[in-house]
Amino acid sequence: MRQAEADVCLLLEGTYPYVTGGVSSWVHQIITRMPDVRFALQYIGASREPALEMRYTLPANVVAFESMYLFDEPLPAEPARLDEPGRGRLYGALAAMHEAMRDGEVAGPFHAVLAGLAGAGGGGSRCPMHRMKKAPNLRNLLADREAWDLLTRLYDERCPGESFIDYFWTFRFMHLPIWQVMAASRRVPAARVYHTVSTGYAGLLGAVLRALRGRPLLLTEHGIYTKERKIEIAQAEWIHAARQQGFVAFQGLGYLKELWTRCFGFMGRAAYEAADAITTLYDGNRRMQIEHGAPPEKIQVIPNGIDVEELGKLAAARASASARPTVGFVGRLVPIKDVKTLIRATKIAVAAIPDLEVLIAGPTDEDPAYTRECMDLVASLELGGHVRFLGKQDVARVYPRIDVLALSSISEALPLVILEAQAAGVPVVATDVGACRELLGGRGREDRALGPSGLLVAIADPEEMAGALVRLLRDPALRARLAAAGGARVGRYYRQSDIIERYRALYRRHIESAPAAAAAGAEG
Amino acid sequence: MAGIGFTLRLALARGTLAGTARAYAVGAVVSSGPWVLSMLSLGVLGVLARALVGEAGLTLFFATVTHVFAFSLILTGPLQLVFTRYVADLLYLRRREAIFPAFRGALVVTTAGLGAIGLPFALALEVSPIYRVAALALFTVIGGIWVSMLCISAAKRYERIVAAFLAGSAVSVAGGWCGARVAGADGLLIGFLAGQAIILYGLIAVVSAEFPRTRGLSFEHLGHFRRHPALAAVGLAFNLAIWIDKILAWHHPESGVAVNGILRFSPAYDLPAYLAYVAVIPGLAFFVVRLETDFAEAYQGFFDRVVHRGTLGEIRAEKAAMVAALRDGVTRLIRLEGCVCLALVVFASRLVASLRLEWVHLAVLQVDLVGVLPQLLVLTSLTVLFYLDEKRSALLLASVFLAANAGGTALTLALGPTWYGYGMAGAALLAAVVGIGLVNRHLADLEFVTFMGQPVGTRGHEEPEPAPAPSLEAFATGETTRDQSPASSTSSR
Repeated sequence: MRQAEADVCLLLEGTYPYVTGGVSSWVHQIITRMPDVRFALQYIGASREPALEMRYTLPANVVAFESMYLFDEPLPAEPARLDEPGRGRLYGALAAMHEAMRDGEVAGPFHAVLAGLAGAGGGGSRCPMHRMKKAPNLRNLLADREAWDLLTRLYDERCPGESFIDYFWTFRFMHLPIWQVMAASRRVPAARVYHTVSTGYAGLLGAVLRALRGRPLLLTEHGIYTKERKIEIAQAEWIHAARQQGFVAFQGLGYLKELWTRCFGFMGRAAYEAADAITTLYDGNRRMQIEHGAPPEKIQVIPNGIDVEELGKLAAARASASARPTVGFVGRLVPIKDVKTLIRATKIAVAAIPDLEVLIAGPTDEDPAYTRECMDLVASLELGGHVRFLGKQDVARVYPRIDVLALSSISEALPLVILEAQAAGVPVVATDVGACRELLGGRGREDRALGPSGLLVAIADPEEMAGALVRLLRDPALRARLAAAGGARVGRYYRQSDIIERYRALYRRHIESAPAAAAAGAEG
Repeated sequence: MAGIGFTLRLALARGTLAGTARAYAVGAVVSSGPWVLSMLSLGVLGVLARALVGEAGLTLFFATVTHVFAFSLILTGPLQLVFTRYVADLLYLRRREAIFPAFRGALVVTTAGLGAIGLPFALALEVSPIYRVAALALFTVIGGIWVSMLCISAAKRYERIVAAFLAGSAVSVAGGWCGARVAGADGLLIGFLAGQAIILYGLIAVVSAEFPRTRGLSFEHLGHFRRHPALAAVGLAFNLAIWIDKILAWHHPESGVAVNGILRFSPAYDLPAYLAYVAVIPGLAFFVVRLETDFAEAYQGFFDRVVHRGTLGEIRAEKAAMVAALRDGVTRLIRLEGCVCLALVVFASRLVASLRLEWVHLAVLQVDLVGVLPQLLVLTSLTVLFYLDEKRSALLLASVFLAANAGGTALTLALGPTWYGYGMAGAALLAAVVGIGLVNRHLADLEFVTFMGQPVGTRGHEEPEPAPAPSLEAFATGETTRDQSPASSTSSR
């Protein structure tokens, strides 16, 4: 790959091009739909092993592609010899960062830590690359007595009753990837704008690049990284949580889990503060970002888009009156999609609609155990004549056949199937997760004025879902109204070409402001 | 874990006076028995054979035996610590079946090595060919004895070891006397050799009773030299340090006397030095039975607390207990050994008179006695440093001792007989101070080193070991290996 300076460098943590999924597809679309924009890719992973395969062919406008693996970065063998002021700066900054992690203010301590890591004197060093000779390296943080003193002081102040060995390793493993990101930041390809597709380590890298290179930073969040990590941490077995003797239930997660949660919170806030613009998929996410410290004025909602024309053709091609009332499910058979609730709802609905048919169209190989359980459930509920597993299907063949699309997920961001179904003229019954409320009811006054395009139900409630399905299947006029509203909504607000244009405008605006920032003294 | 010590402490735990006395007595026997028996057998032989081989023949015999003991100890020094560590690692990995082949390999290496090194020296002696062969054979046999002692967990087998030494020593005396009657100096040596060979045979039998008698020969332990060069260096340095003053005395024109070819001895210097070592018996027994075991236990407590999720406060408390155990032990050692040495110093004149030694011996003996306690402190410091796996500091300490002893002795030899012994005593004192200083510093840093010294592997990081090392006392008396304590495993993602 030629190492020309790119227009946009995407910071991708655990996603494109090595992992498939909603985010990766989105990234791929952005790149392919803007062939005149030169993209660089910076992938961030945990480890090189097991070896990852490229899941996408990189389009021609990708001019650079780098990967960094946080746990595989080589550690320097010896700590750098720091002078007194250097030591003071570094460890003072680290101590302040820990205070910030606790209290909330981020920008100041963050920059102090960068300066401390740079090792350079005083203010204004935007480019520590030149001064790396006297810069601390990662080994300092693993070997210096001051690092130990800081660690034990924080321990004594904050959690003297915790298992020390767990605290020690938590401390190290929290810091290590952060330092690796900072140290590896100089290998990130040069670009006029940096666009990170999550907070977390990619967001942190973005914040570091913003500080060091002075180029604008854009942040797009599909899911809210910090919240996802909090859920994982709460469930994690490998984080030691001392059992409180004598208490039946106790508040909070245990100190170490709190520590991890706060660490990710800190990284998130660092990214929010550093970003020049933040986008996300729907309002619910926007509110959550604000809760996590994002300045509201920076946030725009830019949803995902679909090819409305193509899918609109399916609406025209609908079979006028299908033989049986048919409900469709399009998606992977995995627990988060909660297909079992749909199956149970089917059992209830069949009492009212005896010839009901439910088509489950989605790959069955992602979680074979769960697929097996679903099929067993169908058998045990004696729904063999009603529920059919189609496997992975081309959606063009599914939407024309179904009267209603059902979505029973317990967690979603912005499900593309709802957009597709609406473009294809199919009304929707969906659980109230993620953006579903906005998609089915409208976002903003104008959008809401278009009318509802589906029915919302509670999660894991087969009765309510069955009720909604039956209601729709018995009422063709209602279905037609909902479908019309859905078509209008999708056409106006979720057209992929419009979405791409909005991102293009975002890029253009910030690329144009970049030369001014560049002149302020950063080097690419 | 100090094998003997812990087993003997079970006797102590009974709490009766008799039980306590028995434990210490056994400790003394195990730690000092072998070399005391050797000295005794030599002493008795000396009396018995004087008439048979004459003064010259006896001097030749003693000089030969002394050189054999000294240089076999020095030359097997590097192997001893490395091999002990190797066996300890095998025990930790539960590969007991690999030990006997390794033992055979070590014996082969020792025999071949000592044989090769000793050959030119044997050839340089102006003696009969039989004598040369016997001397060379004795050299390898004694080397083999040192190696065998490493593999034995003496606590469980101490009766057998003592039996082997008793039997062997008896045969040495009887055989030596008979041999002297029949063949003069040659026969004396051959008879002595026979007894020592019996000791070696007995020890090999104990080793093979202890470990599965797997077939084969293994030289895998030689790889450990590359992994633990500091251990080899310490082994060499410490043994050399103990003998260098005598070696220098042998070769100094004023103090040394030629015996035969390269064999020399120092009438004024040697005897008091050997006699003074008798004073070490109580201190060494105390070290083995109490001091080392108390420390090992406290050390294990520290690691348990680290690994089993103690708070930092608890960990610090365990460390304080470690330091206290060491301080108490050292204090008691100083008191005990101090009294013993003081008493012996006071009674030295009577001792000298009853043994019909020269008056010059008295002064040297008294100084040498003063040097015994510091040497025990050096031993203690080295042991602690090995427990803490501070190999470089251990090497530093051994080197300081060696250099000071060499330098100090050279100086005092030049100054004349009134100064004999001060070099060794002064060096021991200096080394003791250095040793205690090093121990202090490393103990102060213990948590820091324990935690911050852990390697950060990227995925699946390695299990670090606290590496409790073989005690140097074990090495000095050619004793045992111990089971490794379970390695601390610091958890991570």
